[in-house]
Amino acid sequence: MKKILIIEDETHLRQLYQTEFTEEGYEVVLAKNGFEGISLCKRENPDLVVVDIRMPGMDGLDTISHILEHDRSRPVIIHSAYPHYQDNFMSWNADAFVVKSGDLSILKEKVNAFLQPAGMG
Amino acid sequence: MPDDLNSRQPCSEPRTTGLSLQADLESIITNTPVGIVILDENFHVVYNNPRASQILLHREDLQGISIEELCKNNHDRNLLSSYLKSSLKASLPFTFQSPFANDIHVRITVSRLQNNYCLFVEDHSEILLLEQELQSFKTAIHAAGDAIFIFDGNGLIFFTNPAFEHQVNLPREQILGQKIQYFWSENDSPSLREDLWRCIQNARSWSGEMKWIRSDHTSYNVEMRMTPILTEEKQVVGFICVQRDITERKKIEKQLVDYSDNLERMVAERTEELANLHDITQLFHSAQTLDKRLRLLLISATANEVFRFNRAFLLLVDKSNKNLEGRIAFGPSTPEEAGILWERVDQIPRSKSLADTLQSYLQYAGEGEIQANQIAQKIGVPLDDSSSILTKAIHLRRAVVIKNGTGEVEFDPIILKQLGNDHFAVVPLLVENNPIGVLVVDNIITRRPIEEDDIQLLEILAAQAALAIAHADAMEQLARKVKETEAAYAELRASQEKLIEASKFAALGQMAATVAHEIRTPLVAIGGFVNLLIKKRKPDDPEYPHLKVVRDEAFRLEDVLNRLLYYARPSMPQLEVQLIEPLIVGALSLLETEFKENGIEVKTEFATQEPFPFDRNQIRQVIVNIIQNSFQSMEKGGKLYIGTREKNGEIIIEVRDTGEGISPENLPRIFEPFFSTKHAGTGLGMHVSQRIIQNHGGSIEVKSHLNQGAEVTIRLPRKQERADEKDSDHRR
Repeated sequence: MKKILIIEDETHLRQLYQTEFTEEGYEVVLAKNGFEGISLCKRENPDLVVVDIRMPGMDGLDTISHILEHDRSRPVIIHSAYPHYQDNFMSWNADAFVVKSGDLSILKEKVNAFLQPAGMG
Repeated sequence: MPDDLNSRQPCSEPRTTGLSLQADLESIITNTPVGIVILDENFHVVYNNPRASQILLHREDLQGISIEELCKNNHDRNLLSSYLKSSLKASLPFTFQSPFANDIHVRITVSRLQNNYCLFVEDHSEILLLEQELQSFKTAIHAAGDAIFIFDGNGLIFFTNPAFEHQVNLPREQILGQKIQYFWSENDSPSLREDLWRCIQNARSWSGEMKWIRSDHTSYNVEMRMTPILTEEKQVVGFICVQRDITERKKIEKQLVDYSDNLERMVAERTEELANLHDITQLFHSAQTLDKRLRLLLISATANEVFRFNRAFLLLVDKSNKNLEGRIAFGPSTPEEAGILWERVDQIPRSKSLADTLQSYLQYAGEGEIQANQIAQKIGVPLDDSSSILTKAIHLRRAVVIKNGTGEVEFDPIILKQLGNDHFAVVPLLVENNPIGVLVVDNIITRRPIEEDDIQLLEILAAQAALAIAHADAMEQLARKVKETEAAYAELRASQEKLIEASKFAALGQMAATVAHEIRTPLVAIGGFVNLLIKKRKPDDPEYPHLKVVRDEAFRLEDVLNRLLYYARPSMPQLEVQLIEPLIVGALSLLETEFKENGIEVKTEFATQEPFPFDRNQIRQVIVNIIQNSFQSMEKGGKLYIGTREKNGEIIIEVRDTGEGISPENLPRIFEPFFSTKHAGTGLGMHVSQRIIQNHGGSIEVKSHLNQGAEVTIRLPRKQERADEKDSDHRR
């Protein structure tokens, strides 16, 4: 089973992602903020990370660079409420950008695309 | 003259003895006023009486002196000796000399004695002086320029001088013996003549002017001064008249009077003309516009009451190109035009005041399409072209009159052809030596010559007109500038307002972004969790539709947010190659229930179904927006058609509805941000949709008629130029 790390500061949304992605058949690891995310990443070594950009404390972008320090090949998806960040996500060494939405189908699609290349979308 | 002593008769009564007679004779000789000198044959003085010495201014005794010693020169000596020897009885004027005086004027008479000569000597000096005086007077009278004549108490002329002869044009012989009345003119006043005659009768002086007649009966004027000549006993010898022909003078006097009258008349005329000019100037300054002032100038130049030139042309300086250009003209150029124009002018009611008359001319006598105007439009010359008479007048700073095609300076004769006339005047319009323009006047119809006087007055008018024109021009320029400034100011204010609006929008955008974020998070939670709930239910579950509503509304709110956020800050499309048809189907399913409830029939037609690069989120937004719009326009039901096809490298998506359509006024505005025809709705939908499509390199078009539905056509390019085009299998 593939493991994904989701770094999200909103409690409800964490719950939502957990339920949805567990249903998708992934092991879900949750982090509340950047610091937690970095240490969890080291410890759990997930196959993919989903990061919220605007978080209290460490900025999402910094978080990304720390995460990537350890493993450049690990896919990172930026998950944000702000659509305009999608213009620059590549410059931040992220692999994809998804706008936050109650409809998680796109996020699921992206995750599946990275982790199950041959499979369902 | 005493007789010769020798021939004297003795007295008839010898009163005394021979001795007393001798004594008497001696006394006589001693006391006689006549000088007696007895000379011997050799002309030596043998005896002289005291008187002789006195006369000859000599010492007492001349005895022994040769009389010839007293002679001045040889000539006189010879004369004296021949006279003595001749024994002529007549006396001889002679001049002796003496030690005391050079000239002693005497009169000598000689009487031959037995052996001697007796010389009687009379002092002639007084007489000589008198004679000289008389001669002087005679010469003076003779040579006088004034006529001098003398007549007796009966008016008979017995003396005349050559000037008088010349005056009456008669020789002396015919004048002497004529009465003065002969020369009097009948045209003179009788009282004058009576007065004169009375003076003559009373031996009084008279002076005055009279009319006399010449020999050819022509009359002439004289100034006469008459003075009676009286003896010591107040006896009238005659009347002497000094007279002067004053005909010339009288003529000059009359000329002077005429001249003075003429002058007065001219002054009166001038004064009237100047008063007129003053009125016209007032009129100038009361005229509001430049155009009015120009026409006033021309009217004044051509009006009968003022200058009455036949034609007047006005050329003005164009400051931008420094050209003198024909602007406007008044007056007829041909007899036919004259007939029409002047008849029209005659019908205009006259007024007492010149100003009013001119005003009515201005109103009624429009210039119309006259040749002069056309001529004026064609005349133009650069200010620095010094060959033209127009610019020459400006340089000379005064009017120039051209007669017979020539004037005081040489000039380019082209103007003669242009005007069709060789006699005209050019008056420059100057303000402080700055050229404003030029006025050209002529009398092409009446051919009345242009006089200096007319031109002088015209120059005065021109000076005033130039001022008024320059002033009006300046005022109009000022007004223009003010308008421009006002317009610029208005633009500035508009820009300022736009800027404020824009910054408001920017602030709004900022706020929107913040608010959107605040709203989105809970919205995501709501939509997400309800979605979970739905997935745990079956479609036939009674709660299923309700849950669906909640989820769909939440998603719809997300769309609104996205739209708002996109408007505030558009983002580039994240292109992924994919099929658009599922997107459309998904969007339609969102409103499936509503379509059914409102009786809206949905039809889809997907022709090719080939994947192509586009941003799923953004295009989904657009599709949803358009479908929603169609839905809202068909409240009472209708048909909705969506079709996709590909043509010429473009994917074409067509959405057609049978709704209420869009009015022609609104149609051009539908892509405007915040433009909405509905109460609800942000009005951003179509605007954002257009931007999204445009950012994809595509186009969106809406066709609609009221009550005939709407048709939206979206075109998207198959190939994008963006280098970072991605497909779903991307790997870093």
